[in-house]
Amino acid sequence: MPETGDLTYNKEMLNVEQPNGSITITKDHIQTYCDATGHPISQDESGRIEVPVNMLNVFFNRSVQVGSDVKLEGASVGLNAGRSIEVFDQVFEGDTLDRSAIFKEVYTKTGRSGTMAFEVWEILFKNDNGELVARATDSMVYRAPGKPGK
Amino acid sequence: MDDISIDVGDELDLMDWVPDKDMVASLMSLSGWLSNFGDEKDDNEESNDSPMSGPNRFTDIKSAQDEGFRGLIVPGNYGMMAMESAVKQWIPSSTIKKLDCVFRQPLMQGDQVQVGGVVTDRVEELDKVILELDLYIMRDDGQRPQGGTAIVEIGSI
Repeated sequence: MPETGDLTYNKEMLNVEQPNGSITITKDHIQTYCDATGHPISQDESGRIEVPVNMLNVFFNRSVQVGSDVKLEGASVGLNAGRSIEVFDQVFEGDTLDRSAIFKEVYTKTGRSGTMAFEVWEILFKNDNGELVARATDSMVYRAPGKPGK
Repeated sequence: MDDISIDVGDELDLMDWVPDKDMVASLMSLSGWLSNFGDEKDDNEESNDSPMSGPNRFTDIKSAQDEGFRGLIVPGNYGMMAMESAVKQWIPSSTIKKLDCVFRQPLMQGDQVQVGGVVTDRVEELDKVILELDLYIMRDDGQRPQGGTAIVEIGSI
């Protein structure tokens, strides 16, 4: 079993909301996304192009001023373990969304492959009026590397 | 079958999906992950590269193998995008309100998989139908590297 050791992280940043930029979603962005994923392009009754829900995942970003600094000794591989996205209002082409990121949680689990650390972040997308239009929750897992080539 | 008549136990039309290198590059570019990859910098210029702007498990085979993968892998959340596409192709009038997905195993770039699902709950409200679906990505060997649940609205009835 790969050996992993102590878990350390920046406790002061837990549940602190930090701004991490804004995005304006263009028609070209939507076209590129739909071409790549096979998602059909949808319009509302007035002809505005709707932003696919999971396209917001493309703009998921947790680069913030002060990070979580999660470190599990011996765990050099970080992988995305899961994500959830919840949408409260439809987003359309041309909309500008402000993003913010919150370091929500960190915990460990031990299994056959050793101890793994899970780091959970929440990304909030807000419209021009400051209203929450979508929330994404992301879980990263850190573990020791597997055998090369598997 | 019209969208409104979809009921518990109905299964999505299986969608074939091959997350290839071009698709991954296209979506990574959209994220800005590749936008400054390889830019030349002055010696004293601070790097503003994104976390994935250098060689990594999605773009560089050696990096992927060094991390224990047999080849380039697909960013986990791209599977969610395929799930949404499968739902929209099956129920064009639907809107996904929530999608929750667990990435159990990595998806390899170039591997063909199928995206499917089943309706597990149906609630009829005044002007809409709300469906709950179990969704999955299935490999040729029957393994399901990703699975999730979705809350989907169909309106107006």
